This record gives sequence, structure tokens and C-alpha cells, in this order.
Amino acid sequence: MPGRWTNAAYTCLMVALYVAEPSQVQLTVQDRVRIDRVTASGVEQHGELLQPGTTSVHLAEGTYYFRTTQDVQVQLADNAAVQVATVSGGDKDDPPRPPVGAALPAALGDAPPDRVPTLTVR
Amino acid sequence: MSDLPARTAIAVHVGAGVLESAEHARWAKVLSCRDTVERLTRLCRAAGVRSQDRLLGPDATVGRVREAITDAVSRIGPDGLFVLTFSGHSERAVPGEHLGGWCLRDGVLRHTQIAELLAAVSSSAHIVVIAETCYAAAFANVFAAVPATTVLLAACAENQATLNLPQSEFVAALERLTFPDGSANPQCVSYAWLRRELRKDTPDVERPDIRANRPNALRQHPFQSPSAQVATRGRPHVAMRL
Repeated sequence: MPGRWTNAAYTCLMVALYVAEPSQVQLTVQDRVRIDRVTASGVEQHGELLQPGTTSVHLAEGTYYFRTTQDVQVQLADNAAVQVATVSGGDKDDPPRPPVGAALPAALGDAPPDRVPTLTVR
Repeated sequence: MSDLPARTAIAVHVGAGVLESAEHARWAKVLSCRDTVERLTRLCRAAGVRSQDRLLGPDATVGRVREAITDAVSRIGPDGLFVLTFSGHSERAVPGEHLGGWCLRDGVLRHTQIAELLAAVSSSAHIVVIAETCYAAAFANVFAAVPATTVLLAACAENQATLNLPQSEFVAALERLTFPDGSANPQCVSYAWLRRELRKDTPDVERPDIRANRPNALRQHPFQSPSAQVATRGRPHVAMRL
């Protein structure tokens, strides 16, 4: 059976935001990014898709996450109110363990990304 | 009463939520399988598919899935429609080893093996594969040799992962865009339209895709064989009441 090998790299970074009290967060992204909030029944989208560039986002108390294919910067107005962490999710034998807060979803595939973009927190 | 030519329409839905093979047994249960199978069964019923086989949980083994596909393929005649859906984990292609595959309860059904089974379908039939899984579009790398017009509706690209959530947004959107409340959406006139709508407002990290093994297939009305479209040109909504 003929086939072709893909050259497209799998790049993905998952970032969790644990918000202890309502906060303003500045996100600088290079692709279109969706922020989700973890709820009792699953997840729900928080606001509109972020477009490439810097966007200020207001987050109420709760657990949020987003995924991106590019390097990302997170700037916090209050370091004490928001905890930022990267989440590994590619290796199924070692599922992601968020440091605090609600459980985050994992991927339905078996492989870790070819490249994990960089997270910078300021 | 429709005056359309009769056709065979069969669906096989696979929901492999729990994996028991040695290499996959520790993987998390797939949360969306049952919901996905329910939605896609409804969708297929609305599209006129009367014969539907569902392989969930313990039934989603490599042997049972191969058997179900083989049986469906043997019954699909000329101008027929075969819908194959999968919800579960996937293995990513490994260059030099394999082109990826769907993880089933007791092992992996490789994309190449699925394409080999589908190759027996009549060239005038239409095959729709719906993949709610990681690396979902990877199946498009193997379907060129399938004689029947084959369209892949993928939850994400071949180099993207989809998350393990209780409900697949891709599948929910697919149902909403094609057969909301069991009736055909009059706006859904082609796979190209469906692709555009599925990709609206999706993040770059996970974008649904629709791929076809024939260049003109994206202009085709979703879930209709080409001959049915010739018979119903100008009356697409009647066709959905097959």
C-alpha cells in the first residue's frame, strides 16, 4: 500500500494557569490560541481566540489552560495570585500532574511533541 | 417518497475507550467514546444510513473491527455509502516503521490495514471516515489507493493532538453543521463548506480537517455517493431523506 511520510513536526506546549484571586494576565502569543477554563463537568472556552500579539486577559478564580504551537510569554500583574506551569502530556505512561488545582485533560495520542515551545513568565 | 435510486448505506462505529494490550493498558480511558458513537449514529441515521454496527468497549477489538469492516465492505454495492467512525487513542506514524493507526482494546489497527480493507469497496461507492483521535488526518496518507471516493473528516491534523474530554467538540460541531436535530442543514452543500465551518474559530494547535482521495470530492454533498448527487442535482435536501 503506497503511503508517504509526514514531515510536519508536532509542536505543542500546554500551559496551566492556577488563579487564586481575580487577576489580569498579559499573554504574548505567536499563533491563534484558545484559553479554556476547567469546570466540574469538563472545560469551557474562556473568551475569544487570542490572535498573535499581546493580549490582556482577565481571569476569575479557577484553573485555566491553553495550548500553543509557538513560544509564549506570560506577564503577571500579581505573582502571588497566579501560578503558571507547563504541563507535559505526551507520554501516556506518565500522565500530566498539575501542581495544584483541578485535573487537566491529556492528549489522545501516544507520542510527545517533536518540539515543545518555550514558556517565559515575567 | 423519494424517487432516488436505492443504495446500500452502512456505518461501523468504533469507540475504543479502554485499552488492554500490554503497551497501552496504562493509558487513560477515553472519555468521549460513548457520546461520539451516539452522536455519529444519530448523524448517520439522519443521512439515511439504516444499517449501523457499534463496537464499544470490550467489543472494540482488532478482530471484531476488522470483521465489521470486512462485512460492511462486502455488502456495499455500486453507488453505496460506507461510513467508518473511530473514537479513541491513536499511535503516531514512525518513519521507517509504520504510518500510524487506531488503538483498539487488544492492539493497533494500522491505517494501512484499514485502507487495504476499504480497497474492496466498489469504485462508484462513497466512503466517509470520521476520526475523533490524535493525529487524525494521518489516515489521509494511505487512502490514495482506495478505488472508492473516500473523504476523511479528521478532528485534527496528522501532527496535532486532541484532548481527552467527555465530549468531542469536533463531533458536536459536525452533528450541528450537518444534521442538527436530525434534519439536514440546507447550508451544508459540500465537504468544502463543512471544512470551512469546522475550522472556524479553532486554535492553531488543533484544527479539524477534511481530506479526500479525489480532487473533486470536496465539492461533493456530504454523505452522498456521486451518483446520488447526479440524480438529485438542484434538490439536495430531498436527497438527505433517503
